[in-house]
Amino acid sequence: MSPGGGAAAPHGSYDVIVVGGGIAGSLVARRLGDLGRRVLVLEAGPAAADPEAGHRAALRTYLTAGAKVPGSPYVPSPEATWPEVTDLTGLPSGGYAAEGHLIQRGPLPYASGYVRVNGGTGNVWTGLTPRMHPEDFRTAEFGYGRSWPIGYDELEPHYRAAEYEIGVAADVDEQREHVGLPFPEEYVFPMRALPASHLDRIVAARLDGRRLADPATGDPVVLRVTGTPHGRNSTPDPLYDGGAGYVPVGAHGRPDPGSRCLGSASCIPLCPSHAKYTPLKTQARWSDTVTLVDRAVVDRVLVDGNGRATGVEYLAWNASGPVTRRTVSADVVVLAAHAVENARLLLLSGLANRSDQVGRNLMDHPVLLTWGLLPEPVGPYRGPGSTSGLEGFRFGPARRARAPFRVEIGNWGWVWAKGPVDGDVAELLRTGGEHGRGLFGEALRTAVRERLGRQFTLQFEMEQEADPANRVTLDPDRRDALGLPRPVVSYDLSPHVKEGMAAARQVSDRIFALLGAEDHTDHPAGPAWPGRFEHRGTTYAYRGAGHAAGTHIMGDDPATSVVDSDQRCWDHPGLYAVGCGSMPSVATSNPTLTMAALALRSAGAIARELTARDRPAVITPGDAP
Amino acid sequence: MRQSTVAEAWGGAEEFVALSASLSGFDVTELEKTGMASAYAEFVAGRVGAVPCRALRDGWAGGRTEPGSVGEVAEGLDEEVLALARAVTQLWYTGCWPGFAGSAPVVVSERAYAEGLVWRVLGGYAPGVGRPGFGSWSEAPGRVGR
Ligand SMILES: Cc1cc2nc3c(=O)[nH]c(=O)nc-3n(C[C@H](O)[C@H](O)[C@H](O)COP(=O)(O)OP(=O)(O)OC[C@H]3O[C@@H](n4cnc5c(N)ncnc54)[C@H](O)[C@@H]3O)c2cc1C
Ligand code: SF4
Repeated sequence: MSPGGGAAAPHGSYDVIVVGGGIAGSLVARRLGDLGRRVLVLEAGPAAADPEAGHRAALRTYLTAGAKVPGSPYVPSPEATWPEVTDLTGLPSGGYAAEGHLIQRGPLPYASGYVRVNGGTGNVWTGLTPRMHPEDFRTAEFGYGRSWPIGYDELEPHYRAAEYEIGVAADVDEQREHVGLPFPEEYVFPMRALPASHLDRIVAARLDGRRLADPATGDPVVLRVTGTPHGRNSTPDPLYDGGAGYVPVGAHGRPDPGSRCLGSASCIPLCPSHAKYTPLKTQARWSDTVTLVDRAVVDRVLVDGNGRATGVEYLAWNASGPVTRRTVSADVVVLAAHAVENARLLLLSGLANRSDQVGRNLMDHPVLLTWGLLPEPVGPYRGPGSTSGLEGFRFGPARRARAPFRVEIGNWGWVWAKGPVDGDVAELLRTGGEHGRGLFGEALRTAVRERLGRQFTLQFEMEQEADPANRVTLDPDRRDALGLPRPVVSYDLSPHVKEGMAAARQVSDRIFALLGAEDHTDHPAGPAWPGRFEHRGTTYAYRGAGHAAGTHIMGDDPATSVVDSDQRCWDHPGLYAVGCGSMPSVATSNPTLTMAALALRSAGAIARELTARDRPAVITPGDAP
Repeated sequence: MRQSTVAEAWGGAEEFVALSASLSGFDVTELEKTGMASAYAEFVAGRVGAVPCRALRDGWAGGRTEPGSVGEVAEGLDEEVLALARAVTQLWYTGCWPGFAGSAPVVVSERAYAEGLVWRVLGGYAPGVGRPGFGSWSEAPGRVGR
């Protein structure tokens, strides 16, 4: 890797330009670099010149941040801003207000953020890496959304490749038996499953084997607490790769047989001990034919008279000097700037939109949270944010009637629902005690233990289907610091999703009863709940999972989709858009492993395309703005 | 100059810790062990000035007659003094000076965040601070020795 830094101009010629150094872009660059291809990665945000210093600075910034939001380890520069969860506020009358990077014009807010620094959102993700189920690729057969042009079997080898690159810890037998996933007979994950949390065990003891009637169909669903696959280091499995084993990857991409998740409980936004996968680990292992230029905001993809991609234009910025416009060319251009920013870039370039689907079909996982207190201490705020879930509501005919959902068991108390523990302490100080004017002293200490020590949350992640009305557009009248039109989102939840939430709420009620838990779920109108709606007379509220997808949707018909199954833009030879933006359905699994598998698969297609073309590329000197 | 602020506001660092012990339910030794006592005494005095601090000291001492009744002292205090009592206690529990009198919340320092008493109550560590070890989250919660 050779960091370009600031406004440094790249030298030489490139086979491939990758726009964005997140998980998708970093994996594509690694694969092509390993094949000897010359790859230029243009990254909008800053990259740390010294990775260890960058890590320490991010940790310090996070630890001293007043609001510990996902982007809190980084201070956004005006040139490359991003939407943060705190940009949204609920109004006392219901409804919401939005400020910041994303302009929101929908009936409901798009409640997810992302991050624009080198490494992207992959710096701050939780690191949960479940696969999609075979039936998830055929959503349309259930009467909603869109199906994929490829299926599980086609993606399966690429899933294994992604599990290697990310370093996934999971139990293959459990995934087979309780999630219903097919694997090759001899397959094991690189690392053994992460230990379940104490909370998982309490929940399992009360739920495993119990049956609930599905609220939509009445069919019985067997409850079973199931370990979630993780992109964080656990014990390597000596049986991996036919007995070759696996060496965990630690700090700065270095092989580190002893690296393990140490339970620091800050995976969002940052793992102090380098146990969680981030794209910086992949970047550290790039071959020296891969060049990173940071602070390079691509705002235009260039094509020739035949529509073939020839390069990009970008704005190079740094803290001191002026912004300069540069042009660089290559045989292949890969957009990997995140679902929202990929769509923005295609719209800015006026490309790939024969189908009128660019920016449309924005999906995420709207999350219904329910939270409460268990009768006994559960040990919250320890270990990864979630280690296990309930998988029984993800599949089967019930998804015709309601959105399917995955249930994550939340190990971090009420933090996602109510914010950090500071809020609980403040509440006890303000309203605790017999007189309702606050608790102090020993009484406070006891109340804090009672209140915080028994907290848990259930996180119901709904599948949201592709709907062309949910979309990203541009507002030419509202521009960012570089003068580029800002992205606008129109977003809503369909009746299918709302039915899913209603079913999830009923499931939650029954689970709480089985657990003997006190339910504290409450989402009043007001600042804390911008995403709030009424459905059949009941009010629900949701958070965004950060799983943006669908904005350059994949299909088998250029008239109705933006990319083909290799993530190649139908309209432009040599132009690829990779990332969750390509996904025709977002399923109920956290999407990044699937995205990574697709990215690696596309890298193969790009390699074949380059071999076929096999002609040198040239750099054209940048012209001043 | 700082010392005189602390002296003016609290009567001295020791008096601040004694008051903090009564507010927080942690004894003086436990508070001293965090290493944050004098930093907090200075920080609060610097933020709000000596007068409200003295009012808190006097009001609190006046209300606290019987051992065990600390939780009810709040009953006898006027709103401003009570607000400062809450803010100081919040600071001890979380390392974060809450949005007090219209100001934005401030985490006093990395150390302050790490030493938040709330994590002692729970027997663990502030997120991102501790490294309790692989699989530690599987154990029943207990006291973490430090
Ligand atoms: C809080 C949170 C938790 C999450 N947890 C999980 C999880 O547990 N499991 C899971 O599967 N998924 C999770 N996700 C989602 C996951 O982070 C994303 O799916 C993934 O990071 C997307 O990768 P990407 O490479 O497409 O985009 P990003 O990671 O966003 O990377 C895009 C990169 O492109 C750069 N860029 C943007 N615009 C431009 C431009 N114009 N020019 C040049 N560069 C540009 C950005 O700076 C960034 O570095 C989570 C997301 C969030 C927010
Ligand atoms: S629990 Fe801690 S050590 Fe493990 S991945 Fe999360 S932050 Fe890293």
